[in-house]
Amino acid sequence: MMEGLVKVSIDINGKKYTDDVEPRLLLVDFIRDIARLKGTHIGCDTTSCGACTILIDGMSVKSCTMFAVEADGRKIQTVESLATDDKLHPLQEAFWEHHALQCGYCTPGMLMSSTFLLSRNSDPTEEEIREGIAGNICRCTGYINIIKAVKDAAGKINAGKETE
Amino acid sequence: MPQKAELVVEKAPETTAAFKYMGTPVKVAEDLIPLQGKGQYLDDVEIPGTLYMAYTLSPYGHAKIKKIDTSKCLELPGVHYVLTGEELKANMDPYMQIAPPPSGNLKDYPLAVDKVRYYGEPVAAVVASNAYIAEDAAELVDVEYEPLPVVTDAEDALKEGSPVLHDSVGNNLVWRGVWDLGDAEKALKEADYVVEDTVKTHRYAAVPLETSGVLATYDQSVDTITVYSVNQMPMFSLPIICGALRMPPSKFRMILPPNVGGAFGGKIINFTHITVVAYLSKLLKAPVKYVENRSENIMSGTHNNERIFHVKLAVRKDGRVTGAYMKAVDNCGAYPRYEPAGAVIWAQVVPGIYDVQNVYVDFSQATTNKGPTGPVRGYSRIQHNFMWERMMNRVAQKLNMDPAEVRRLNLIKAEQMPYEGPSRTIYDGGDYHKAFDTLLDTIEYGKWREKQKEARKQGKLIGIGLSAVIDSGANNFAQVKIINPHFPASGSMEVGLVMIDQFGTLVARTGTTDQGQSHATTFGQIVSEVFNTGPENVVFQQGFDSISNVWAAFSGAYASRSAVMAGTALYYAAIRLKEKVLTIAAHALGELESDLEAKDAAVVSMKTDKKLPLGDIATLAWLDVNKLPEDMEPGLVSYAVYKPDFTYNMPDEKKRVNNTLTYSYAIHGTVVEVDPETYEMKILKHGVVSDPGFMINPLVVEGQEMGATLHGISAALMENLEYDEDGILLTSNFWDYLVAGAKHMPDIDMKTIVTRSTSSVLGVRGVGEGGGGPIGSIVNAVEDALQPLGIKLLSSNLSANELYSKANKK
Repeated sequence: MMEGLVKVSIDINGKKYTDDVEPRLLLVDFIRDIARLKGTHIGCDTTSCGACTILIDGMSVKSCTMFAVEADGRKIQTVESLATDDKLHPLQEAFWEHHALQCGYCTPGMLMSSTFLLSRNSDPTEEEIREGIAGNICRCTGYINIIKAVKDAAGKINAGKETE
Repeated sequence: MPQKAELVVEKAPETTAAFKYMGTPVKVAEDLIPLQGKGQYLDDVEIPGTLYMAYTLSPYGHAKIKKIDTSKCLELPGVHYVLTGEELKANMDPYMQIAPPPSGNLKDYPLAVDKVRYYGEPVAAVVASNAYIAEDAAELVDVEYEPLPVVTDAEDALKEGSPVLHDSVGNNLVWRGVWDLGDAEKALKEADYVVEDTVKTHRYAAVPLETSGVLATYDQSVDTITVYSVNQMPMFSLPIICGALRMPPSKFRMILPPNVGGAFGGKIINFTHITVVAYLSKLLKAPVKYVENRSENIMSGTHNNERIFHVKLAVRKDGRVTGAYMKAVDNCGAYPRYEPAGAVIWAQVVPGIYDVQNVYVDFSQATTNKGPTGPVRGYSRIQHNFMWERMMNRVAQKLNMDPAEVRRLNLIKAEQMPYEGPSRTIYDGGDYHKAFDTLLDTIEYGKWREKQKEARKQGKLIGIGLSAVIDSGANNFAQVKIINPHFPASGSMEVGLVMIDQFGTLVARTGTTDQGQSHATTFGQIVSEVFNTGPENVVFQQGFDSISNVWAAFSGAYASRSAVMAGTALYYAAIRLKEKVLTIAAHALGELESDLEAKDAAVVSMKTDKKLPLGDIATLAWLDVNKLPEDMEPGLVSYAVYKPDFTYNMPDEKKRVNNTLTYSYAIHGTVVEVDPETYEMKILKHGVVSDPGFMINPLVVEGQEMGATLHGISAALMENLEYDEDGILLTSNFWDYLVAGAKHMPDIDMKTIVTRSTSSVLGVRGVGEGGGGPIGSIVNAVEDALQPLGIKLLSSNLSANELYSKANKK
């Protein structure tokens, strides 16, 4: 191991990625450059925009705010984990249905924040949705369609649970 | 266009009912890509062996560069090179200037030479083996500065004795021009009232969520630099860059990745980054990448023009405005990189939405020690629209009339359409009264006026504001000849290519570059319509590549032009291709062309029901070519360049020209409540009624209108690039430069009324830049709310702090 490097092993979307990294390597760069998962984006350097939002052990985190070494041994979910076997996640379906994206740059972060929100609150009010995505900036849509999509997805997920 | 295409225009159906694929809100197929994290944005493009670049930035607003010491920087392991302005100056020419001399003598390089002129200006470019080292190393470039006096205000910059930014110019004037249209002086003389005031627009930025970036690589084998960038007008930027680097455009390949993370005008003047990275990649014979960090994007990634207006309106006692006389001064920032185009682009909307034929404008633009300006959503028109909307309220106050009544009285009438404005802009249809009245109903204007009376009795501060924008689209470059008659550009053009591949799939491309406007779906609908074939048979290829794409020199997505320009080019290209397809089918089926029609990926005979799939026609055209009609050229490729007729194509001696093709419009209404203690502002209601013309995909058009509304609300209540007296930007990251989030965006009651554009082929209007609407309606509403306190507002940006101090000064 090169001097000063730290061995890090992170489970991302069910697959283990191990590498020797500088202690200052940001988690988002580990995800993008080492795991080569490019869906997680960088939109600012100040933890403000949320384009890099992921889930760590189920908690939403802005991955530009954490060092990769801090995520050692933990489980991460990125946007790439949402669709399974080419079947869209209900949130993705709803975002598509409501045209809740334009350039798509904020979308992965929006989806992960929304996933976290719905994991804690399966039937959020409009205000709770606004609160839930307050850390994610979208410059294109004006948010209204995103809020509708999250609401709609929550309804569909709940309806699905009832029929199960 | 050739005669054949002209005939098509006449055949274009008048009603949306006649369309099968256009005019419906189909879901946006390309949304599926970023939704799954599969998009490819600039920073996702990788080339092995790439080096990374970072800038050393100026900490001063204005200073002499006395010495640059790069030794410490070069000692850092991993550092490959440090580039300074001196080296660039020796190896490139300054960028061409739009303005004629003396301001055309200005020398603009992508790195500061001899002195810095704004806070955050790149001074050196450091190349290292990774981005982390590059950023560290950029901090190690030791620059010795000698601070110079700073000027940040445009009016101050034009005063005798002001610090001068560019010695080669001699003063700070970029350009001055006078529009003397109709007879404004006479109107003022004959007016019952002269309503006079000053209106100011503030500085904000485009800030797309993806910043600008460049990846350049030099290929020795063909002596070509390949550049991946996010530039909005790649083929317009190319000669600017190649002219400066003294190389032929054919040796400079411009590529845009399939996904661009928003632009809003803010990805045009990034040609400075492209120049530096391209230069370094050739010098170092290695791929070099640079991605702006957010602070760089905010400091220098395109600011909106600040403008101050001193206005006199000629008003009759019934409230009719008969003339306008104004002096306007525009703050360009340190370098005119697309400017002074903004000094004429406002003239697309000279009278706003009002019927005023006597307008005198004395317009100046000045350089100052602030970041460079350029196109930002609603470029240059937002300021002018805002001026009208503030002044209409002043007229209402003067005459003690309802601001809605004053507006209604002055609106251009539907029967005046198409309306020729005083500068010969031709407003292409619409019903402003209908839109206006629909808006009043939408926000329940009358009811809120009643509520306001009640609220005031209880000490509550509620206000109602109205505003309108002309959201002009598809610019005529000839307007730039007003600034410089020798500027070699006029008119507009865009290109469409439609082909059918060997298996019978329709493939389409244009020179426009999508930044989130859903081009693939929208343009696919046009091709579907012509071939009467579902979207599953149409592939629109996203992205741009100057060596394999079709392009025109003005290609790109800017000035709300894509649907109007590229849409029409594709429409023509598809019709031409269909003609060839029908000819081949007629030959193969032994039928008359006139008995055939394209339908569901085939050609069918209306007479005999015989059918030939596009796949079979493709086989004939591409492979089994001896079976083609005699003398027919093989292949199924069609190409059209659309060049619209603006009627008044070139400016006359009075600067009159129809400087854009379509004029969509939107009326906004806001109800606000201001907290009487904290002066926090809350939007209680916001309505928008717009007329985008025929909507190829209403889902997409409404999405654009909503996005523009967000930008306006954010600009009015949050976004502000605030400089101190030393020219230091106080708001250079997302903690200080606040943009609206989900909690700031009120519910929007949005309606569209549709009248076809009288000037565009498909009846569409360019849309998406009408973000100025909410700025006017919010400022008018807040001032209305504060009326009991007698507070008068000046600027287009409001903060609770500012209102509090105004209220407590009294």
